[in-house]
Amino acid sequence: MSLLEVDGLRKSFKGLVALDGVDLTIDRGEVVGLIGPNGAGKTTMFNCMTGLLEPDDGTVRFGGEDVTGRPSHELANRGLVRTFQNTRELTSMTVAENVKLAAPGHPGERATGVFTRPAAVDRHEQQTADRAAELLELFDLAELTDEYAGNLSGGQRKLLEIARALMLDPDLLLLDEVFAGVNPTLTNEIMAHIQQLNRDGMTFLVIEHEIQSLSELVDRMVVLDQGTDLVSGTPDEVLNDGRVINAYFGGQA
Amino acid sequence: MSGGYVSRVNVGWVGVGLVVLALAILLSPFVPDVPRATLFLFENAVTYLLFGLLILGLNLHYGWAGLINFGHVVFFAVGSYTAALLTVQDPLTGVGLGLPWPVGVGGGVLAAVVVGALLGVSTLRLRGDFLAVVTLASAEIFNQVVISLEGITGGETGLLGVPQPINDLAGGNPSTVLVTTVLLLAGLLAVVYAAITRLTGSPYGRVLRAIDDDDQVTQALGKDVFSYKLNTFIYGAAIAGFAGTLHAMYIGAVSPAFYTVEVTVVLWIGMLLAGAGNNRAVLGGLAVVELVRIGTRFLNDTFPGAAYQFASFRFIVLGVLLVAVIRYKPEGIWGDADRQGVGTE
Amino acid sequence: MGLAQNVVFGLVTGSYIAVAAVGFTLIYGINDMINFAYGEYMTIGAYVGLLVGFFLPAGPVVSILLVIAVSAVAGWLVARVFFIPIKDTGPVPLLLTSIGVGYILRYLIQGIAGPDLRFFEFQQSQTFRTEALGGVFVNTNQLTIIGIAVLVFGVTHLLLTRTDVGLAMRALSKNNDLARVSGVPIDNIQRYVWLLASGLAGLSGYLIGIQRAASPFMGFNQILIVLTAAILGGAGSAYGAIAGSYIIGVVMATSVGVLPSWATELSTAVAFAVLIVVLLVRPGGIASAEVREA
Repeated sequence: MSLLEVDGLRKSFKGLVALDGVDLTIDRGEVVGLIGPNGAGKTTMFNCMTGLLEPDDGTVRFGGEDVTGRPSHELANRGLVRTFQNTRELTSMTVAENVKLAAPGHPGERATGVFTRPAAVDRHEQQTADRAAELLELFDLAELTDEYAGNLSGGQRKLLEIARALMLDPDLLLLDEVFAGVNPTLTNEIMAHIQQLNRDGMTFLVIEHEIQSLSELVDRMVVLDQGTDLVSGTPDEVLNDGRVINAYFGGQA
Repeated sequence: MSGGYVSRVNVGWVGVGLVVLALAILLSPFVPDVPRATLFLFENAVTYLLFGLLILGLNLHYGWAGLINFGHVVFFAVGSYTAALLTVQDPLTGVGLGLPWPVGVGGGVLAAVVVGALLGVSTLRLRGDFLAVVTLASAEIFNQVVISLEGITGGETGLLGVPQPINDLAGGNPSTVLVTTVLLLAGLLAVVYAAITRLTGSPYGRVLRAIDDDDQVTQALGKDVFSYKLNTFIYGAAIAGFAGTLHAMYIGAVSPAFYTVEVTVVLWIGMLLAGAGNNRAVLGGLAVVELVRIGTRFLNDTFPGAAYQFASFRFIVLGVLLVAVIRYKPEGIWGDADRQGVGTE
Repeated sequence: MGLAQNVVFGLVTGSYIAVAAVGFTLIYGINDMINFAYGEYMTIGAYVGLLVGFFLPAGPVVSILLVIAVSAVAGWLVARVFFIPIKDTGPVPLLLTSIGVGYILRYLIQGIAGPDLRFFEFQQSQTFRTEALGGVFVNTNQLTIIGIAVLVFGVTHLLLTRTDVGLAMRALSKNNDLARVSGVPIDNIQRYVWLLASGLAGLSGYLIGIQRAASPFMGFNQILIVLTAAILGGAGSAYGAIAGSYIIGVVMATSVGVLPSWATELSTAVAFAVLIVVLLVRPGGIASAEVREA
């Protein structure tokens, strides 16, 4: 059974067809890249898969269950977590708070818990703080623990976005253009993190424009064009495929 | 966070202590001897304390969860009217069931919760400024319905004869009534304050702040945002409804004149002036606004012009205050500019 | 009182609400704010009309033009002082500020002009009666109001479709960023919007005033109805606002006829209930615009 199965996904916006029947399968342990020219529907697809948009047609199955159209918080709790293209750090909170926020199943996040189970709340909060510190250490953000997230540099924000997502201990992590506007050193750093996490069992789906880095990172690439999946294969296969070249350069080959 | 717990719990116990003290005075033959001249201070204190309950609830809505509630007075009114309808006996105008006063309190809070849930469910999916409009409209609707249904609510006159348990226990001595009422309300306010700050200082409060900051991201991180908004709305409504029942049983009557949009405006000014979000600060902000109101009342004699002009002047000052705070100090006097401000969109 | 008679009343109400709602919608759609002081913009028009009536021997046409002109400038000046300086802070500060400004204007007017109702001096209006539709009364005042409203709609339509300024306004209301990039002079256009909308508000207030009377709270009493009409028609659509206004006007008038006597004051409550229902069921209103959580 595949971890993620997308079948015949369709989505239109006021007559403009964004997704025209997309199929995608991801098995546990894979690192899959999603590429395609601008306007191909990559972000729309992400949004439909993660509960931010409701697809017009088609199904999304995660871990064997139909989760089509389910809200994003439910999916996140099931292990399907995403990051955002424009890093959405919570600027009114500190770096540590951003990460701690994502902690799942916290009794202190329910009013009943706050008043009737103070010991459990304190305990869980301590665990949360420890785990957050671990993640911040991992991503070299430890010195910025109490800094307001809005004061971070672009690169640091990317790392924070990932650290925060990891707090949820996802089974499948969807990274939306995580390398966009990132310098080569940081790109390599992030790739190393992804590879390590993958070795430890995490599955990835990565949208990217930066095809060079992606080729090194992923096992398999899927190309999206004009709302449908065009090709799926190893980076080599895909990048030499005539249809893909056509899609990017519009038939000028 | 544990350090804060201690002081919060202390405030709560002080509150309980005050309530006990109030009851002790009421039940004993002791009559607090308070100079006549200061009685008006106690009266104003009662108003301040009741509004304090209201502002803590509103702060939960706006300062913590970012919900623009411009109809908060409706919960106050619903609580009061429900308590009155349940407990008044043989009223001259309107309807009354003559039930014991605790039923009034419970019923008032319940009614406010129901209205809060209705409003919450139906309006929390709306953009901020539209939520403001809908909540404002709801308060106006309630006001009009109350005035229209004269047969039930007593219309413009309202309902008289709401039981006043403190008066009964005090044997009608005005000094005792005022002093014990102030102590009781102060105690209740302290307990509510402790409960609220405990909630907002906990991870629950962290989620609220996140929702206020970016609710789409917060949802994507696994939090059921709508559920938080709805619950917070209900908690604030319940507290306001409770305050409403207390008000009704203090005055001994309810009337539409008590529950006007000006109440909401005063609360907002106090909240924005102080810096929404900080529970202690908004109580301070409310105090400032109340002091201005009391202070300007004294200017009445020295004001040249007719009485209605002076009243107008005071409202103009209210408006100027609101506008000035939003423009020049959106994060409030005690607010943290990094953390929040009315205009950080 | 027959249904047809109520519809006549409804058309009159709808007319002056529509004039106001168009202006309100323009401010919302182009200047991105719910202007809660708009009611005072209307009240200003009524009082300007009173002053014009007292001090000038002006005929009706000149009076109306003066009311529109003075209201336009007054409204724009208020915006200049209070709203334009904070126009980039977001819809919430603007709304809250407008609530405060409403207080200031309302009580300033009351302080200066006094709380009493003031009536306009007019010739006795003629009443007509037709046997059609079960016998309906209509008087010249009412016909005048409807007529003026229709004229205003026509002029506004021409403005929005035939002039450069009007086209720029529509471009801005549809898509701010695109318009910005293609060189539409936003600040200028928004100034024109303030002038136009304030003028319309003043005219509406004047029409209400000659129908009933001028008082400091008259505009404030209408603001929620105007808002309801604008939203019913589709927040941001001027044409929708007109449709919404007449619908609200007729609904309110017929509910007065339908409700039992103790509930006649509830006609406004009915309008607000409509507002809430619309916002929940079809927030885009008739023209379907964006109002839900972004």
